[in-house]
Amino acid sequence: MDPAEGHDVHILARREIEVTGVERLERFDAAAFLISTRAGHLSVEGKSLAIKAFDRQAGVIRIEGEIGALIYGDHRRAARWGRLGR
Amino acid sequence: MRLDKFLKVSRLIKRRTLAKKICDAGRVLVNGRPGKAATDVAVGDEIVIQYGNKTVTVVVKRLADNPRRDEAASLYDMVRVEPRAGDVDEEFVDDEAETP
Repeated sequence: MDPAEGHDVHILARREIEVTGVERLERFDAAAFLISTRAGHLSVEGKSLAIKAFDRQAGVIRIEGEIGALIYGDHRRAARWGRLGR
Repeated sequence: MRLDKFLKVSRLIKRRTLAKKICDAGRVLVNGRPGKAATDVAVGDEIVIQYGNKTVTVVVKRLADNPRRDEAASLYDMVRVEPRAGDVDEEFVDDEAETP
């Protein structure tokens, strides 16, 4: 079974996000949440973010606030545009 | 460490007055039993906080007397956050901006 199976992300009108397949909520504040998921570390960045609901056993978190960016841990942010330029 | 102090240094509750009030109102459980402001908490204890607008469950991970602001959340593991069914009890809402 693909380890990422059961890890889904839903963004609702850019002001709420639901993430499933969550293993741990590592760190969080109003600007960023660092979540470890079955598919690796995921950081959710935005403004005035707050937990709406979280159940570690069920592996589901719902975060409300203005969603800015989602970045998976192993993805090198800098490379994203470099390749397109060449 | 005292329960009301832990709630403060971990920034689970921002206002000192609310930290004490919410404990004395029996809205904070330590390992399933209502805790008082002076109840001693230790690493591994499960704490359930019934705010006015949500219920938060954490496990104490580390004790520190005055952690830096950005270290506060490392004192506990977040286990569960449930929006409160029914109407919000304003008196026990920790209304500072970035509550968990």
